[in-house]
Formats: sequence, C-alpha cells, structure tokens
Amino acid sequence: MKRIFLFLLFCLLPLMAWATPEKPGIGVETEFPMKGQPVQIFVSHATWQRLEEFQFSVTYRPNSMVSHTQELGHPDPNGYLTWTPADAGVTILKATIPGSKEKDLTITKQLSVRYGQFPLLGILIFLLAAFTLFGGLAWTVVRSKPA
Amino acid sequence: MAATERGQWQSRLGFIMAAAGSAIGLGNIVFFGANAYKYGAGAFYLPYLIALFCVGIPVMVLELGLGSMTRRAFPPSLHRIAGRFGEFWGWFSLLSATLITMYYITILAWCLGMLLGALGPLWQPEQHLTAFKEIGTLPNPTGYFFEMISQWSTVLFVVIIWAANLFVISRGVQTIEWVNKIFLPLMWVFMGLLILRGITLPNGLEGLYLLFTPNFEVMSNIEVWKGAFSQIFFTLSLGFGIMTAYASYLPKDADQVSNPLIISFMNCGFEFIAGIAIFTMLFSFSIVPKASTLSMTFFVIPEGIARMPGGSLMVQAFGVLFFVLLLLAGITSSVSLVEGLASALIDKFESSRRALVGVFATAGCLGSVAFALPLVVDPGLASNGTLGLTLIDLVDHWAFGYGLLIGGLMECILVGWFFGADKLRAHINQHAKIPLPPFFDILIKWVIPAVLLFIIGSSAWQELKGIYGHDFTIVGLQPWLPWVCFAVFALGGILLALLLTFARDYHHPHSHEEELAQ
Repeated sequence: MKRIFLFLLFCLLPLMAWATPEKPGIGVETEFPMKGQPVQIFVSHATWQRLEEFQFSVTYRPNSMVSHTQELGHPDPNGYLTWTPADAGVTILKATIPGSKEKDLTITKQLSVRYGQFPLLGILIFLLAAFTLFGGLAWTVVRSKPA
Repeated sequence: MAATERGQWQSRLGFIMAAAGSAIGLGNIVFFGANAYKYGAGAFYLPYLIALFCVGIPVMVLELGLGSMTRRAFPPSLHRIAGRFGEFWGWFSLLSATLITMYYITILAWCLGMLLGALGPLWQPEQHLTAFKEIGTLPNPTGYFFEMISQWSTVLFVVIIWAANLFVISRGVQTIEWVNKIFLPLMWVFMGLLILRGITLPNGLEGLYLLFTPNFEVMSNIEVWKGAFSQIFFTLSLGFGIMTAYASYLPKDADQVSNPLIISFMNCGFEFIAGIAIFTMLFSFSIVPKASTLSMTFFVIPEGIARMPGGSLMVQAFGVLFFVLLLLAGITSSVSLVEGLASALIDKFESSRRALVGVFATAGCLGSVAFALPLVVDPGLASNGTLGLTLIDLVDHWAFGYGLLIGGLMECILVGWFFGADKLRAHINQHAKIPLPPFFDILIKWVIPAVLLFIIGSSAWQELKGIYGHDFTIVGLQPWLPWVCFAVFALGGILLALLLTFARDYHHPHSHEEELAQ
C-alpha cells in the first residue's frame, strides 16, 4: 500500500509542478504598436484569479524629463484591455493590483511604440545637427588648407 | 628647454588625430545619446549646438592658443600669463584631472573584463554571484558585471591598462601620434558597423526618430540648458589642461582657430553618430535608456547586444566589437589625461620623461587599484555593491562635477581679466586662416565665466539641500564618507597645488614679454 502511495506521489509530482501558477506577465497584441492606433494588451497568465483587479498604467519616455504616466484602467475578466498609445518612443507598461503588498502583483513590460508617420521636426533637427557638425568640419578643412 | 627637446608633433594631422582621440572617450559613445534622451531628445540639440559655439569652441581655442603661444603645459602656461596665482589654478585643475584619470582607468579595466566576458560567459542568461550572497543570481549582463567587479582579478586588468598607457606615454608625443593615427580611424569604422547593424534591425530607424523628435516643452527648463553646457564642457575635455599640453608640442605658427574647430566638430560629430548607433538598437529591443555612463556601458547596451538576431556568434561578434571600441576610445583619452600631468611635471622639474612618467604611473596605478577594490560593502546590491565602485561614485561627484568646471572658470578669468583676451586673440590671429572676431573677448571675459559660475553655483545650492541633492543614497556607506571625500578633494587638492606651485621656480631663458613676442 505504501509503495502504491509513493508511486502515485512520484507520478503526481510533475503534474503538481505543472499546475503551479506561474507569475503573470504583460502581453501585447503586436510587438511594435503604433502611436494613435488601438492595441490589445493583456495579463498573459489566464489561470490567475481576479484578472480584472489589475490596474494598467503606461509611462511614456521613462528616465527623461518629459516622462509622463497615464492610467489605463482595469482589464476585462479575461485580462484584456484596449490601449491607444498617446505618444511614440520607449514606454513601460505596468499592471498592479492596487493596495496589494505582494511584490509579484506588480508586473512591467518595456515596449517601443512606433511613430506611425514621418516625424518632420525630428528629421529637420537631425539634418540641422548633421549639417552643422559635418558641414562645419568640411568647411573648416577646406578653409584651412594651405594655399 | 627647446621645443624639440620636449618633443613635437610630426604633422598637423597627427596633432588633430591625437587631440580628437583625447576628446572622444567613453562618454561620447554611451553618454551623449542618453543625455539627449533625458533632456527632451531633439529639443536638446538646440541648446547643445548653442553651447558648442558659445562655450565649447571658444574655450578650446583658448586652451590650444595658450599652449602654442607659451609652448608649455597647462600650469606653466598660466604661470606665464598670471604668475604663481595662475599656476596654482593650473595645478588644481590637473590634480582634479588626475583623480579622474585614476578611476577612468579602472572603468577601462572593467571594459577589458567585459571584453573577455563577451567571448562567451557574458551572454549566458544569468550569473551566480559568489560575493553577493544575499542576491544569489542575477540576469546577465548585470550579473556578470557585479561578479567581475567583486573579484581581485580586476586589479590585474587595472595594471594591464596602466602598462598600456605607460608604454605609449614614456615614448613621447610621436608614439601618442602614431597610436591615435591607428586607433581613431578604427573607432570610426567600428562605429559605422554598429550603425549599420542598428538601422537594419527591425524598426531600428524608429530609434532615430526617438533620438531626434523634439519635445519643446523642456526648453524653458533651466536644467536642460545646464545639462547642455555641462555636456559640451565635458565632452571636449575642457578644463583638464590636456589641450594646452598637446598644443605645446605644435610649432608657434600653428593655426589655432581651424585646429580647435576641426577637433570640436569631429568630437561632436562622433557622439552624434554614436547616439544613432545606440538608439536604433535600444528602440528595436524596447530597452529604456539611462543617463549614466556606467549603466549604459555595462548594463543597457550589452543587454541590447545580447538580443541581437543571428545566433550566439553574431552576439559575441558585436559584443567584442563594442567593448574593443570602448577600449580604443578610452585608451586614447586616458593617454592624453596622463600626458597632461606628465608634460606639466616635465616642464616644472626638467627631469627625464621616463623617470617622471614612471613615478606618476606608479602612484596613478595605486589610485586606480583603490577604485577597483572588490570588497563588498552592500551585499544586497541595493546600491553600488563594492567599495571601489562606491569610491568612484563619491570622487566622480566632486572631481568631475566641480573640479573641471572650476578649472575652466579660472582659466577664462585668468586669460580674460589678467592677461587680456584681446592679446591672446591677437596672437592667435597672426597665424589663423579664419580670424577670431572681437566677440571672442566678450565670450571669454563675461559670457563663459557667467555660465560656469551659474552651473557651479546651482550645483552647490543642490548640495545644501542634502549631499548629492535629495534622491541620492548610497547603501552600505557611512554618512560622513562623502564629506571626507569632499575634504580630501578640496583641501588635498589645494595643498598639493600649493606645494607644486612653490616647489621650484621655472627656468626662463627669456623674459615673459620676450618669450611671448617670439
């Protein structure tokens, strides 16, 4: 009897390990969402209880002076939420259960949001800087050549 | 001593390569782009370019003009124009630069350690930490870095980097020229390869947009302007006394308007393209940049390289390429830092180069070893982890944040108010193909001292609210240690500078006016 019990336990161990709830993560419908276009984000572990209690937020351009955070609200009971990125660049998506002191109930994901359209001002600044630095270099070299 | 005894550059190109190699360092590769991102991306470029023309190029002209006019290193040059008072500030700047040299070489030693790791173990998913027992394991490359700096083998790397510097410096300026003529083009080629890889990554080009698309809201924030002016000062290696030392090996009729223009544009051009290489990769792999040279060098960028497509061989190849690039850029800069002090000591004591460099390198190597000490002070890794890294944090704060700016401020005051910016301009314009406008005098006398005073003053004001400002804490550190570092930096610097100033009189075969008129 004892042997049978041990055998059953041995067989069940891998199943128990399989069934251990893994830490949830944040999933995104597309790898590179686009500014202004809605995208589905979700808590990736479907077996996690109380998915709708998660509170989503996004921080645009973290670690910069123009960093700002936007609260996105709660997902549906399946863990899904539609998000329309308000800004392009590197972002951090965060999902927490408010009031929870458990560390594993805050999950984050770094995500790049595409610009969608050609950022004219950005290209102008790129050209201005390139022209000033490399144009200035070329101009000086030409002007300082021995006669 | 005649110029030929001190050594002389073999060609103008060699001098430009060496000076540009000095200016282009680790900060250009990893820090500039991260700084631009921090201060509003594209919007940062406008104050940056204004700072380049209003502070960077004029101070570069001043330092090079001073060197070619007096054909002496930094302290004796300032002695020529303002006596012992000037010389004292020259030594003070050089001593700050020496402290920076010590930990800069430690950082290069860590780059060497990471380069060895890039051949394989650095790219393993995680690292078991033997010294940080509270942590256990950490994901790489962060884990590999902390495991490396907690081992005594880093001391060996420090010795290797110092030996490389000693080898170049002891052979004189012609070897410095030769090394830079090889290393500098190699750096551009390696950077080109990184850019090519970056823009061909999925959505890599969008990283370019991230770096350049402006957010003009920040333009009214004084911190952005302060960041831009500090960035220009540091990136061009101003206030170190290096440029004066390098220019002292030029003939007196060197064109000291076009030379500083070329060096400044080359340096800023390099960091401009380095930003592109780094940001294309960060965007493609969704990695958040950090405005810290060490974090970018050892954690953020290697994390991006680890995710490169093409298999482990490709990751290893680009990892090796990145760390070799850092070592090339770092060694050309560290050589110039050591040469700045070596040339000043040679001018002062008129002793042989090899003997003085040997003594200085031994002392410098011991300093670098102190910054590499692998003793764990923070086993939970909530902060810097080891004693060496903590010391770097403290010394960098005072020597880099204040020492160089004070040196730069004083050289502008000494030239502008004691010697006369118009006299220096007249000397420079004798041999310049692009003459300096009279506006140069106003910049040196008024504008640049005002800007530097503001930066130093506002930083000091922050210290009054709590050392390092509000949000800076170092775990595992006694609260009095930052103030001890401040005392060592301030009092030690002043005492040593006084000692060097009064140690010996310069032997001048001609009077001050005669020499300047020659």
